[in-house]
Amino acid sequence: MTAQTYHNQQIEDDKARLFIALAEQMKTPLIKASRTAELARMMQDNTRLNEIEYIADMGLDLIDSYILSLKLQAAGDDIQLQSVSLSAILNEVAHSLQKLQSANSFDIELHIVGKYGPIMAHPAGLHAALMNIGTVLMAANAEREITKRPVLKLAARKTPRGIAAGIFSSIDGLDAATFAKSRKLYGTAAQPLSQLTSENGTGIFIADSLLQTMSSSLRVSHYKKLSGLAATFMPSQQLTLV
Amino acid sequence: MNRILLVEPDQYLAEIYSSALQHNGNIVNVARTVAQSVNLLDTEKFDLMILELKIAQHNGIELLYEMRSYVDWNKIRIIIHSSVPEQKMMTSKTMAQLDVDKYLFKPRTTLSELCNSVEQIMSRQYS
Amino acid sequence: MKQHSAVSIVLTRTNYGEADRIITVLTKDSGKIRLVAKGVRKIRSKLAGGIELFSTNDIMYLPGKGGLGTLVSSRLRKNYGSIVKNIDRTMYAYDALKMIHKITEDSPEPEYFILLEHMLAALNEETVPLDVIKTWFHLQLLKLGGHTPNLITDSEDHKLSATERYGFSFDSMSFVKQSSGPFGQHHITYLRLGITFETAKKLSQVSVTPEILTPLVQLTRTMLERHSRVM
Repeated sequence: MTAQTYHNQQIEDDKARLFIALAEQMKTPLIKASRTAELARMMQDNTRLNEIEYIADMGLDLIDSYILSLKLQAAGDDIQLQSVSLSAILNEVAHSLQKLQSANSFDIELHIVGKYGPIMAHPAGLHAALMNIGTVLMAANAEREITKRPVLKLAARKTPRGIAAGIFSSIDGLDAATFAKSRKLYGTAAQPLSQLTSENGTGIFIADSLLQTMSSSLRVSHYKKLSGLAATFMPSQQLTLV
Repeated sequence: MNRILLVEPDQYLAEIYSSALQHNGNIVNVARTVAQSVNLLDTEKFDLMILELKIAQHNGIELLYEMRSYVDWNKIRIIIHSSVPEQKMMTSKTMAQLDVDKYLFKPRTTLSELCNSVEQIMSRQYS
Repeated sequence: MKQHSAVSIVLTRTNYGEADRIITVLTKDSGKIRLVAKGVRKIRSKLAGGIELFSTNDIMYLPGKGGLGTLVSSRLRKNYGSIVKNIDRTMYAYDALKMIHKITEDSPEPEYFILLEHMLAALNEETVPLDVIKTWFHLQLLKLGGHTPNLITDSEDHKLSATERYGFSFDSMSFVKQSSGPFGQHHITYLRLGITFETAKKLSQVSVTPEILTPLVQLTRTMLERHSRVM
């Protein structure tokens, strides 16, 4: 088998695993929706039915992010990267995550450190990736015994390698070695990130897949004593030429 | 009235299952982690435990074995209610060895089925 | 009374009274020992960290009457903490401890301790596939118990052929020529390697497809059930 054939086989295997991981992950919102409807019937209380809408939306967002990752992969070198304002994207993600806040009781903070220009990225892909990471971290936090209101920090800063952006929380169970192993375990193991979450954390692997189409990838990172996931992007040279 | 320990890491599902079980006349304590479960087992007297196997940091299998190593917890009936399919997890022999009363596959188990299972097991206990 | 020391792996734990635990450990040089660990349940004791499952510990103990000694101290030597990160591996680890506990009812040789250590180390390494570990472990247990399957000749004493298909006879622990049998050359080769290799990690370096490996897990398990006291 040539190196290229092996590489292509790996990509197909990874795609298959991600699909299986997504299918497994989708059981959760469907179970929640089904049991909520049943409970509403059982207790003759229709106020709960609003929650089904929110649960269904979360499931749809996950599927949409997966479809987008497939489309961007298929585009290959033809992918339309744009000059994107990272702080604007982080702001949008923070607002989107706010919708989950009342259900999960979080404080969402934005930390844009220093001044820098736009980055090269796919705006919808980046938004979806960050949303997925935020959602998984919030769900993981909700599984812990927490004594004070948890915080999610969306941060961006300049580094020697580019502009780094990520989402961080006080949760434990996230380290570089575990994350590296989990990349080989999704789609096969029931809990690829078992130290982090009881779920299979598919959103994170879809986020990774999205970011890889933008020549970036997720890594475990730390910010102000919090741990989380971040990616580094190249600054856009476009506007400086204008 | 049965006192149930519901071990369920998902906050939302814990609330749904807890509400349904309470609506059926049970007293329910919820634990989201293995440590919380052990603390509750130490402080309260439970009749039955409903256990999800997929728990962050420690899994339900550990909790199950730990529980069955304590003579004073051996009277607690156990329903495994998990998104891990039964055939993937344990044989009927292992279930018998661990004294697990029932294995319910979460995606396919309605709230009524869960509540009925609790009733069946507890009525067998007292008959 | 003189204290004894040992390198040990916990096989079982049960509670005893309000605050004590009875543990059964497999040691390298002193076989299987039952010990009471006092005061470990309710309060943080110096023993608590040393009686965890899936770990190797250095213990000091006092032998006792009626086969129940007292654990004096325990120091963690190696913790196989990654096992519990995976639910399937956790389940198998408990199964494996039970198998070893049953098989070593009489006085066990040091080889059982070494095998158990290797097995836990393999389970701890997430890159070693679980089915490989299971097949290897089953074969090693068969070997130690003197029940190695015949991987040289078939049930009619003919040399096993690379082109034939076979079934398996658990009575004679040998392959039986069968035109549409489930086992062939690749299965037999893999079993030979599983017997020979000292660790599951080494076996995992041999390329094998699920079509070959999956039936071997069940085959070797059934061999054990028929010829050892594992269940």
